[in-house]
Amino acid sequence: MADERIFQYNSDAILEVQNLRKCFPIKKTITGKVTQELIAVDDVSFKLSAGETLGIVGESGCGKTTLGRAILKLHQPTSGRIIFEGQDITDYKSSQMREIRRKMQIIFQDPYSSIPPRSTVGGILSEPVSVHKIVPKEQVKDYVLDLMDKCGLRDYYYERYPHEFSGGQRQRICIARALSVQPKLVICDEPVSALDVSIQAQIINLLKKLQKDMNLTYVFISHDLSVVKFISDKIGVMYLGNMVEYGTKADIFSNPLHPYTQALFSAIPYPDPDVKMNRIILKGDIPSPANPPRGCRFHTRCPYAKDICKEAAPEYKDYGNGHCAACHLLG
Amino acid sequence: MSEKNRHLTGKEIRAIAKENKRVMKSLEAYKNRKANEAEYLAHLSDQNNILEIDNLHTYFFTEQGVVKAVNGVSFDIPKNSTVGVVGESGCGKSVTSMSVMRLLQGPVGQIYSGSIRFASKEADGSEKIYDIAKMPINEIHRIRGNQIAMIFQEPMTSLNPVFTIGQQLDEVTFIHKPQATKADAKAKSIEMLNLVGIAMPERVYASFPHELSGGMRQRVMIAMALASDPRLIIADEPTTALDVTIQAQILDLLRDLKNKIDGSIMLITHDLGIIAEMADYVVVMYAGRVIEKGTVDEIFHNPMHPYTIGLQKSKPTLDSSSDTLFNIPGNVPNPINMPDYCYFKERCSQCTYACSGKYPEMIQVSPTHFVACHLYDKERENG
Repeated sequence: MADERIFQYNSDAILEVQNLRKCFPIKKTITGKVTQELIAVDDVSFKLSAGETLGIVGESGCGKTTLGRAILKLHQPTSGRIIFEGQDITDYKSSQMREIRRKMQIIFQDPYSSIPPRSTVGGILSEPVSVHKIVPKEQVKDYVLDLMDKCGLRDYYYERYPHEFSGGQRQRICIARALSVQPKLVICDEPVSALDVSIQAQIINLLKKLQKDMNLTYVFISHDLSVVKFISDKIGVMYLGNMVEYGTKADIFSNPLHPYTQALFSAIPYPDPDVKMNRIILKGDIPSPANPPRGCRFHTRCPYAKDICKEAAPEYKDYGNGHCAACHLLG
Repeated sequence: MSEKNRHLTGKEIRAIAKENKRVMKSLEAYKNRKANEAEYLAHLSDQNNILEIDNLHTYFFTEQGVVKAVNGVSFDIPKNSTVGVVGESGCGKSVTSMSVMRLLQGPVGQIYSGSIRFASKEADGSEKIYDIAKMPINEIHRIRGNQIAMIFQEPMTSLNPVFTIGQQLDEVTFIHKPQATKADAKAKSIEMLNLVGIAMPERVYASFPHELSGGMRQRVMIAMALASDPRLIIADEPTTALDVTIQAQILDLLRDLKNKIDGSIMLITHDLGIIAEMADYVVVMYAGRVIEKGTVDEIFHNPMHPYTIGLQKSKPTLDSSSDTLFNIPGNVPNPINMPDYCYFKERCSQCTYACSGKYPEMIQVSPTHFVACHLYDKERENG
């Protein structure tokens, strides 16, 4: 099946994901044969140009984090292709990945558990620089101090330990560490959801500024639609492992096609007491991804579900201008 | 900075420990004393209120010094209304609710001074005003869980994993109505599960918490809070741990229930969107103090304190189109050894000469709108 595909290298696309699928085994027989699988990411495809931000939104358990990690090959994809800068990295061995890893980095959600407590800030930031030989040995300290300045960290923090910092400052350290190897692509996995509103704004502004200065490409994973809208150029909405809608920010927000996207947008509380939202309240909970419903995965909660939705999975189609959605109602 | 963050010497630590021990001992003794009812009866300043918090101070006596988590908080909760308490983490909003419930972890956490007056409904239908802050701890069960119920943030951890939902719900009825039979309790529990919109109450009644999803568990928590017909529900970040679509369901339910049970809700959250949607009155807290309070219209259309303004601007909304977000520089100050001047001074863009002086007092700008900021000192002098 894989050899049917001919990869056309698109010069502006820095990252291309084709039919990516990741399954985790849940049950195995005694011989190691997998009898039940959890499909965390199912048939996701998109293209991302350099300097763009792709926002991925969805509720917990929809596979957005797995997608982010599969792109970095922290999880080996079950099937599908990941093309980074024109190279198909899907089957790269870990030794081959090492060079690529310098160019793709990740910022994790929880700044409390993702930095080593026993190294100083200087140590945390210099290690990747010296491992990847970004600058000659004697310039490492200057390079790190310059980077800290860019990320809004004072130079005397160099000797400090992570426990001396607040959540926002720690997230700045995480950002500085990811950027220390001069990556092209950064996966931001809920970088602001553990922070307070006023600190959130600081970090989002920092991420935006750094993107402009260093021409970074972001995959920004979040469950907060307002944050995603603020930072993204393109948005992908995920539900139970499927990408249900994908398009530019303007298209998705002005004309959401999929009923799930519409419901998700209407569910956000709006900070103005005069605005009475015409809210679509979805019934029930998200089904278990280990046992997803047949047909369209959203049909159990969809207010417009028809008979066909229970039978067949809808096709993921382009509805003009790269605005894709998967829904039977769209015809 | 280095002066503030320096390590304490052994001598200082011993001095702090000695002083803490003395204060905690006397406060614990006061908490555990036997007292006549007359000692903790009080009067409401307005008959329409159900709860009045007046100059409440709640301190934590830690090894590094006294943390003034709640430092002079005053606000009222009128009958049949929703009061939203909003603030960032560490601003004392949860500690305020814990003080009302008297759930502070002693001996470290103590109500130091102030009063919490609650209009309790007695068995014969009459109203009695109790000062919760002065009540001995072994009398508090008459109010806690009975007339004031609480919904906690984490539905995953607030239910006991080894008992069924039914056992846990029935317990509420058994404790607060000792004459109830098993059948009564079950009927009441099923009724409550129905009320919170659980589709198959009989089945949920017999299941264990791990069999339910997060949204369902939060519904069970709400049912548990309702089981004793409370007059006031304290909801401490009831939807923070839930997804947006489930959050919409729970908020809808809470709004519905407030009308059904004819009570008040104190809603604690950090999300201004939820406040705008749910609350009638808003209390904005910062570093253990109330910095602004008023009706929801006043706070959202005419915010006065620079912090409230900054907080509203720093939240990206779905229709904002600017390129950078407004942000409040800096962090919340260290809760130990708070300064005398306005706690927001270091982060404020509009501070004046007066801000280095003493902490600003509450200034009344309209019958319901209060703000603690030196920028409005003049208005007070003028009228």
